[in-house]
Order: sequence, then structure tokens, then C-alpha cells
Amino acid sequence: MTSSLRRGALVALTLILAGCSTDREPGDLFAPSNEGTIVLDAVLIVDAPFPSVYLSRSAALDEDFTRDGVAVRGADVRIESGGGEILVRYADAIGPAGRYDPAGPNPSVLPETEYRIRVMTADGELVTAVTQTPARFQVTDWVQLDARGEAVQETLATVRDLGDAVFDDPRNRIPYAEGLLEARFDRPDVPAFQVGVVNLEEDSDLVVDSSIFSEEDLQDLDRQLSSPPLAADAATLRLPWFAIFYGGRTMVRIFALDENWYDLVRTSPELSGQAGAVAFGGNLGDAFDRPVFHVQGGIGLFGSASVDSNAFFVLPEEK
Amino acid sequence: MVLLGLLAGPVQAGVLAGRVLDQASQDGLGFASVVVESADFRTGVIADETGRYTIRDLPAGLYTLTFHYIGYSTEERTVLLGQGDRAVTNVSLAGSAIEMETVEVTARRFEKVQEELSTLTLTQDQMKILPAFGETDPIRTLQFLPGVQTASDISSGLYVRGGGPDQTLILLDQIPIYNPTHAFGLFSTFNADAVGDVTLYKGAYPARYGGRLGSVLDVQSRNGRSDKDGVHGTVGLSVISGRLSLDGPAAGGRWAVSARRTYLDPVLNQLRKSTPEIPEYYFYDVNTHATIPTRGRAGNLSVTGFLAQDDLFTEFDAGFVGQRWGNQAGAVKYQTILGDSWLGSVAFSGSRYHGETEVEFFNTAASFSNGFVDFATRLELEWEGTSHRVTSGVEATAYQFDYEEVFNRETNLKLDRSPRDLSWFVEDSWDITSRWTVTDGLRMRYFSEGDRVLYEPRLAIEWAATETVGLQLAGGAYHQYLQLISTEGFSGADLYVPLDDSVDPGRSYQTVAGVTWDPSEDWGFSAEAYGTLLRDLIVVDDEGAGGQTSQRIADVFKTGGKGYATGIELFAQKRTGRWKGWLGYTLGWTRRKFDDVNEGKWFAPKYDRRHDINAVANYDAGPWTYSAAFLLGTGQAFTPAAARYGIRNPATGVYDEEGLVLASEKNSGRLLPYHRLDLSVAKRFQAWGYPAQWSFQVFNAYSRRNEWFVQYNTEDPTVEPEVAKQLPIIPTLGVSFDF
Repeated sequence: MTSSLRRGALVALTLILAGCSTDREPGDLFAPSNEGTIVLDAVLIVDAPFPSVYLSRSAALDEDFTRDGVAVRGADVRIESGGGEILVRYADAIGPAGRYDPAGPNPSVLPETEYRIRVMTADGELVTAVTQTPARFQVTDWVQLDARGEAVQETLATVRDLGDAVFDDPRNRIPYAEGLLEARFDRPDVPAFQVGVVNLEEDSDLVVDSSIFSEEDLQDLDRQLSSPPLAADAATLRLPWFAIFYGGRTMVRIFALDENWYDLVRTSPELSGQAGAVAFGGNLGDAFDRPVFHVQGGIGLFGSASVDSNAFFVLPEEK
Repeated sequence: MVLLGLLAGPVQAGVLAGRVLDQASQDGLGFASVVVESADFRTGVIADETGRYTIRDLPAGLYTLTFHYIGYSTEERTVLLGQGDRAVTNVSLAGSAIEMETVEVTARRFEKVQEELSTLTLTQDQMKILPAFGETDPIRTLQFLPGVQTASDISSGLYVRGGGPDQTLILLDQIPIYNPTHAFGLFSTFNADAVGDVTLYKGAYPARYGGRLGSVLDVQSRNGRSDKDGVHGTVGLSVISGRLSLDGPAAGGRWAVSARRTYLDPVLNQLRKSTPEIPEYYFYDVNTHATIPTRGRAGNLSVTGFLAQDDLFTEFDAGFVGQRWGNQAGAVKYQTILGDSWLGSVAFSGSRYHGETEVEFFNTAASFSNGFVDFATRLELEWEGTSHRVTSGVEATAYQFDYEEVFNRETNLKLDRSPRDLSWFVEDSWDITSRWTVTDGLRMRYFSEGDRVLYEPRLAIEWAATETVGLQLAGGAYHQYLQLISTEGFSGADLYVPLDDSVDPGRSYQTVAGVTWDPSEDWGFSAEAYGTLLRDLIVVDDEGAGGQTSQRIADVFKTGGKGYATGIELFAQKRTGRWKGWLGYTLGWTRRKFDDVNEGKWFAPKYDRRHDINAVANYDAGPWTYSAAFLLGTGQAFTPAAARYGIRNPATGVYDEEGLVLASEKNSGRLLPYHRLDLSVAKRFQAWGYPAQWSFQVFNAYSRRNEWFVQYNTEDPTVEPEVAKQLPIIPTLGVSFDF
């Protein structure tokens, strides 16, 4: 090998080894920023009054994120019928979160009706969205099945019939992980359902074995959880026990979703029971994608749902 | 085309052609050498990977043909060639008991990696001298060839010319293998000791293959050695597994059995005593292959068996995860010479893949199981005339597919289908002149789901411009009915689904053009340009509602996708001498488009790679062999984050104070370039009078921590991107003994 070849080989080797470093600035892994986009957040529930509307802006990734810091104030917000009639006007934002409450008369949301939201910011940005509310939805039976999911062991009392007394009814005092809880209903024509589980206690004990959790895990155990969107083609939904960590009064809400709500939660894992989930980009799966928003001039959700709910009292597991 | 050929007049120059076969198995002896001599003339050629040879531009005269193949007897034939004649001479070589130095086999077999347009062949000897991860892996070694990628260091899924792993048909002795992976994709199920040649058709593959949009990987079982003095074997140990291969004579033919199994169990058992979450895990595979001559060696019966299984079980405080997956496959093939110009074969085969996952978490159980079985019958006839070689065949396949998804003791989805596939193909290789060859073909398919009949024309044109320069052009249409649902990081859950009548089958149209230049025996060069159009692509819709029970494919997949892949590949190979190796470069573009993905805009799939360099060097120094392989490629595409935003969970009303990360356009970012150098050194020696070899392999010699994927963590006030890295330097040691 001549000396020039040796030199060449040395230079090549140096270049290769210099290329071994894979450290780089964090900002190199960000796309061009989408900061400043209006984020609309409002969900209509059939037969309930029109809700508060939240307005904020998206923030740059390398800036501190706070709810107050991204709130949008001073916008003109109104909800109109499909024909353009103004149904609800909203007062200027209150509090730090960019929350707008209805001002004046606030009728109930009707089923199977088109509603349009119109937002004009103080800077003149226009944001609009349309939702078609689903039909009314009602669970016909809340039952407790045996562990194999084959036979009905108990039909639960309902909040609709007993109110708060439902928690004292023996049928609704259920040991943790005993049998399977199932809701049965006539399926309305909706794309999907979502289940929300809320533990109403502030400091009840865990019903799962706490020894299997680290201190950090225990802090992350929520009292409010939601499911991914569920098809429920068979007009039944089963409540998985892994959605319950705490004993005491527990409320289950089943939402029959409109297209907007469904499209957002099906494309946003973080909004379907995985709040705070780490977003993956790169080549391990393709789970990190832009959600489907049905908002013109911004992002977010203007959706609707009809809902039914029930409640029960979770007792510690019978050993 | 056949008719035109029959009507064509005689050509002026003569052609000698034929096929070199193994006498016992009647398999083609790929890369056999053929020497042609006359009184004043001598030349030679190397047969292709199927044992076929053609020598053109010969004047009329008396010729002596000498056929050589390492480990086989030498045969001579005398042929009188008339003006413009084409003489076909097929020979069968008998296995010889002569012990040959492995190094000689290696030197010869290294000669032709790229024999035909878009076709790459690696022999067992070539694979075994390439650097490996733990032990030689026939599929992972393909990544050292141009146009072939793997998705990551832990994946053996093949990405060929911009196509995904689902677009490559993987065959073992003509039997489809549906999930050829162990250890979640880290290794393939093909034991290198059991494999003979591996041929990869990267594109525009011929009419005798079908069923995939992109490419075909044809793995041939190793024939038992032809020694007649008893049973021989190889024992091997690597950090991954123990291996045993045996072969010997039987009924005038040969048999071979190879098996391997991981031996991590005792180690894992010990670790589990202190850390119960350590899983129980093992895999094993068994390959068998036998050939038995019949009808006075005019025919032969071959039998192939294949079994591979992975088993994983992890128990933890809150539940357990159990997973099993595996393949079983078998084939019986009878092949016979039906006359001077006719060869016929009939084969029966079956292949079964089964995967099962059971999970229990906080008293909530879930399970997923998938079974896929095919039974196929294949009839094939081959006729060789003066200027035509026509092959035609019929293949009937019955599939049985089932999938069941149970969550919380409730069956959410249960699919059960039994489609039928009937294919007929014809191929005609026509030597129009001594320099022009046209291979035209047609594959016709009937698929019972939707009662569809599909036509797939294929065409390849070859022109030997000079003695050393050849030009080729090929193309074809392809369809795909079986769809693979796969997660890159976890191949154990791979799932094949046959399409139904609610969607159109995937289509591709491929074109390849290439030029080869072989200036000497030592060197070979080639350049290829390829273009593929893809239509009616589907991807699994993992954004749909859970628990949906529709069995329609249109409800389970995102449909109507489009795509294209185009690029050029350059390849240079040094074939002989102590130094051998190759250098390849690929410049490529790949794009996809679905209405329901990326807002309907075109995007680069993650395996789109603009530049790709593959370099392999091998140095023979007596008993020592040194090898190096280097890969350098554009970083994979990934979806970067663009902003953070806040929104309440609509079902609970909870506002996550940390906000959510807003993704940018799909795959609009790039990871850093991927590069890696693998090294190996091996030494042959004698142990207790038997040949043996030890090898030392270094994966990722300079420990480049290539990027794997990016995750965005929102727990801090500012979003923190974290890059997961791929494997660091991993040295491994292996040893094998022959007896």
C-alpha cells in the first residue's frame, strides 16, 4: 500500500468515525412550528344546555406550555342552527382557561339536529365547525354477568330510578372483579361509542393490589378514565375491570358519538384513555399522526353526543 | 410469441444450450461450468442458478462439451452443430466422493451474485462467509445487496425496492412461508445449515411466480451431500442456539435433516428467580429434505419438511402475557424426464401458520389467534426445442383462514374464510437470434372471493450487444390477495388476511431496464433502472372503533391507496482471487397516497431511502477468512412534532395540563443516515481429525448508535424529543464441527 493510499484510508476512517456521533440538537427533531393555531373545544350533549366553549392557541414545542398562557380571550363566539339562526351567544372569556359561557337564554341541545359554531377572534381570525347531533340513547339493562360472561347474575338498579340511593342498593354494591358488567341497549345509528368511568370519591382506597405499583405509578392512577371509541355492533358494552382502580361510588357514562367526536378520539390515542401518553414518531409503528379535526380555520373539537349513565359502589375484592 | 417463433426462419450462427442437473435429485446445478472445445476453438460459460447454459455465435462444427461441478463427476458430450442449429444437451452429473476444500467451493460460488436482471442469488457458502449477527441468517444477509433493506437492526422483514415486507413472496422449496421470523423478527426461521441457495427476484419476476406485488424470495433446501460412505453431519454452537445437521444416502438418493434450538432457558430460569418478569422463551426449527431417484434415474421424488416454533410466557403481578407462533410446512414433488425435450413435475404442498396471544391484565382477559393454512397442487411441464423453451403449469391452492379476537370474555371479531386460488401460467423463452432472447409469459388467476379472474402478462427481452455487454428489459403486471398485518417491532403477531369482494386486490405494474458488462472473469458490472406503479393498496385501519364485528375487508382496512417506487441500482463485483466482494449503490424514491392518511396527500413511507450503499469485501488467506460488510443509507422517514395544544378529554372533561403533541405532515422528517460496519474472521482447522471452524463476528464494529424512532415527552414544560437508538457493537463467537 502506498503512503498516499494509507493517508486516504486514514482520512476515510476519520470521517467515518466522526460520523458515529448521533447526538443532535433537540430542535432538529421538530417540524416547522404550527404554533398560534386556534384550538376550539366544545362538546354538545343531547338534552343538556349548550356547554361552555374553550378557546386557546397551539404553542411552540420549545416554549413552556400552560393553560393560561395559550388561552384566547376577546373572541366573538356564537352557536347557530343549521339554517343560520343564532341560538346561543357567548360572553367574553372568564378565568384563565379561555372559557366562554352562554350569555342569555340557553336552550337544550336537540337530538338529530345540525349546529354550527362561529368564532371570530379579536385579530379577525374566523373559525367555524358543524356537528350533527345523534339520536337519543338509552341503556335498557345494566347487568352483572358471571365470570365467563355467559349468564346474567344480577340486573343493576339505575340512577334514573333511584337517584343517589342507587349506591345503597345491594344489587349495585359489587365486589371488585366479580363477574362482568355489561350495558345493553338499542343501538342508535352512530359511528361509535365512548365510555367514561369516574370514581366519585376523593380518597377511597385502591381495590387493586397496591404492592404491584411503584410510588410513581400510584400517583398516575386516575379516578377518571375513558375508553377508546367502541363499535358495540352487538348493542352491548362490557366494562373492563382494569378501568377501575379505586373502591367506592363509581359512575359510568356511555356516549353515543357524532362523526366529529369519533374522528378526533379515534385518531388521538391520548384522548381515549391514554392521557399523557408518549407520542411516537419514527419507524416503530406508525401511531403518531395528525388527528382528524373537523374545524375550519383551526383545530380541535366541536362535537356532540347523546349519553346515558349509571352508578354503583365498588367493594374490595372478595378473597 | 410462441407461434411467431415457430414461424421464424433459421438463424445463421449456432447455439449450444441445455441444463446441468444433479443426477440424484434432478435439481439444476446452479453455476456449473461448461467448457466447449473444437479443433481450433475453446470457450466456456457458467450456468445460471437453475443450471441452464447457453453458448451463442458458434460456427458449424464438431464440439466437445465438458461439464464440471465441484463435488460431482465430470461429464463430456460430443455434439455436431450445423449451420444455424441450436443443439440442446442436458446432462446429469453424479455426486462424487472426492472431498473438496471449502475454500475452492467458496471461490467458485462467489462468481455470480447477479445472474439475471433484478435477480440476486446467494449460495450457502457465500452467506456463511458474510458477517452475521450471532449466526448466519439467510434473510438478514440479503440486506447487504443493493435494493434490499431491513427496517431496523432487530427486524428481518425485507423491504425490496420500496415495497413493504408484505409484498415479498417467501418460498421454501416452492412452499409459501407466512411468518419466517424468530424472536419477534430478530432472526429468520431459516437455518443456514439447512439452506442451499437463496434467490431474490427484486422485481419484474417471471410468470411461474405470482401472488405478491413486489418481489419473490426463493429459498432452496440444501441437498444432502452426495458422499456414499455414510452419514455426515455438522454440529454448531453460537450465542443464540445449538445446531445439528445430518445427511446421508438413502435408496440411491440423499437425505438431510437440520435442527436448532435456543438454549437460553436455563439462563432465563435463573434470572427469573430474582426477577419474575423475565419471560420464559425459546424457539426451535427443524428442516428436512430428501431426494430419491426413480425410473432408473429418469425421475426423482423429493420431500421437504419444515417446522418452526416460538414460545413466550411472562407472568407479572397484574397478569400475564403468553404468545406462541410457528410454521409447519411440507411438500412432496415428483419430477421426471418425459422424453428428449420434455420434463414434467407434480407437487403437493401444505403450509400452516398459527399465532396466538393471550393477555390478562387486572382481571381483564384478552386473546387474539390467527391461523392460516394452504394446500396446493402444482403441475408443471417444460419443453425445450431448437429455439424455444416453454414452461407451463397449473397451481390450485385452497386456503383456510381464521382469526378470533376476544376481549373481556366477549368475542369481538371472528373471521373464517376458505378462499380458493387457481393459477395457470405459461412462459416461453425464445432465442430469436444468437444475441436476442425474448421471454414472454402470462399468468392467469382465478380467486374465489369475488369470483375474480385476473391476467398478468410478463415480458423480458435480452440483447447480447457484445461478448461482454448485455442489455435487458423486463416488465409485468402483478396482483396480491393476501394482506399482511404486521407490527415492525413484534412480528409474533403477524397476521395474513385474504381480501374479499368488498375491495379490489392490490395491483402493480413493474418495469426494469438494465445493462451488464463482464469485461473479464474477475469483474462484473451492472446498472438497472426500475419503476413500479401501485394501485388499490390497503393498510390496516388501526384508527377504527374497537370491538367492531364487521367481517368486510373494506371495514377493517383503509383502501384505495396508490403508490410508486422508482430508482437506479449500480453494482460492481470482484469475483475471483483472494480479494472478492461487491459494491452497490441505489438511488430511489418511494411514495404512497391514501384518502384517509395524511389528509389525502402523498407521503414517503418510512422505508423510502434516497441513497443506499452496500459494500462487501472478503479475503481468503489459507485457513483464515476475513470479511467486512458496510451499509450506508439515507435515514428513515418519520413524523415529527410541530406544536403542542390543549383540549379536554370529551368523555371525562379532564384537561391534561401537559397538553398534547401535534404531529406534522406524515413522515416529513428524516432520521440521521444509517451506517454500520460488520466484521468477521473465521479459521478452519482439524479437531480430532474432523474439519472444524470457529468464527468471530462483530456486529456494528464502530458501535454507531443508529436512530430507531423518536418519542415526544410532554411531562416537562417544554416538549422533550427522545431518540431510541438501535443496537450497539455486539461481538459473537461461533464454532462448528463437521463429521
